[in-house]
Amino acid sequence: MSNQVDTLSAESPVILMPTSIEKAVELKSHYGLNGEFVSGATLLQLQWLNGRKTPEQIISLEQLTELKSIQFDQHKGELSIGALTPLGSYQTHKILKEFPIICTALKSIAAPGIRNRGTIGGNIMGRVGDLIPFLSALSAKLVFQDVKGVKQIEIWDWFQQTSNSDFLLSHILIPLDRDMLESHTFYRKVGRRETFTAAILTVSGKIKWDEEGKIINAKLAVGGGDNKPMRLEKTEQLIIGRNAIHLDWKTIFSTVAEEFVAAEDAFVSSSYRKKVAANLIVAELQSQFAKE
Amino acid sequence: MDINNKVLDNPIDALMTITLTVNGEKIDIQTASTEKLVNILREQLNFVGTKISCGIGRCGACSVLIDNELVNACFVMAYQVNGKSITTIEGLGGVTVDEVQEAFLTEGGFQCGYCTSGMIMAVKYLLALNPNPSESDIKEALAGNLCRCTGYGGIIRSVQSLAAKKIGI
Repeated sequence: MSNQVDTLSAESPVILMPTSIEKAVELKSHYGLNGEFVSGATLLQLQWLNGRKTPEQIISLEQLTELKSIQFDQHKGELSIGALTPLGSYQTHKILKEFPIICTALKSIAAPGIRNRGTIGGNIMGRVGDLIPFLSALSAKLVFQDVKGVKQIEIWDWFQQTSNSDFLLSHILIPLDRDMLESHTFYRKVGRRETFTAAILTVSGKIKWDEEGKIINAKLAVGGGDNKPMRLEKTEQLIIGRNAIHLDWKTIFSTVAEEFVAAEDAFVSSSYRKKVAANLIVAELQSQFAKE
Repeated sequence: MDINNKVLDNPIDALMTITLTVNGEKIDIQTASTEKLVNILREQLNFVGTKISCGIGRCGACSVLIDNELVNACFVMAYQVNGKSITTIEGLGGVTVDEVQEAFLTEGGFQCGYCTSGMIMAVKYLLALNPNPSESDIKEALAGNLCRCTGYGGIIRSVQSLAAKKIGI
């Protein structure tokens, strides 16, 4: 019996450690598919162990300290989080601590030892992370850079595009403006164990209503674990424009269950995940609108 | 194009030399770039107090501190610890046992003992961040450490006892 943890590959990749974003994207452009951006590599190492090709060149981002900065622009009402910010930063970073919903989301991912290595950018770029539905509900934007320049794109638009790994995710921009303060925002995760295991599902949403109780904006998203992240657009359309007192809970429940394309595995059925997602979303809405 | 922006100049499939400090001692070793830290500690440096169990970041048996931050040594690659300072269970205490080890001994914080070194490293990290943790804080801090004997009661009691002692309750 081997008394070692499996190594990743018979060949050891070349490690490149650029000290600037410009150099990092230049290296990626040069090596193409043979080079891969890597930071904490928590998810990547799992994927490599599961058969994903280990790159010939690891372009380590760990020296790009500019991608670890967190700033809140009060004028714009926008939180800018560097992509290399560790998931565990919510424990110590004073700006993040001011936003409990963000801390709740970060705290729900993996366990302390993994959160100290895994990054917010890595959770997004893996395209399966819990933060994708959360940030989609918040209409967050991603800032990417390649050799041609910088571009911004809303996370949900990015997710629907074909993956292009030549771009380096540099920052995540989260609107935390007046609109956010006047909305009900939620993030709920269900899993088997509070550690580095796949979630059963994650749901998130942002709902805003006017003084008369009419819902004027709704963003609902689901994902987590093996579920492909998705916006629940039919459910959003069902409730937008409705007065909260006229919401039909059974119809909302069945619409969520119908449109959520839930994963199925040996432990958890698709129909169970649908039921859980529908229950969570109805419960969140009822927490705001079914008080009487 | 300038692609000389390398810190670690290792040809593919060749060993690289990294320098790390383990429990206060500076060490140069030759290793594959993606070798796991837990293998380096146990096989090359003989720090076998760091245990191997799941190998995929789920059980916490291999928990160590890198620059005072808790990590799973099975999920850290060799090149990632170049220039870093590692603390393993062997690096705690001195001529006597560390205060966390003492608390585990006093309160019965272990059964078979396999998870204990990882648990103790996780508790060291917790108490450095939060000297007066609630039971909920303790459970959250130890969420990544699995005790297959299910001896969590004694482990939580050990942490509570030590925290109370340290803050003078």
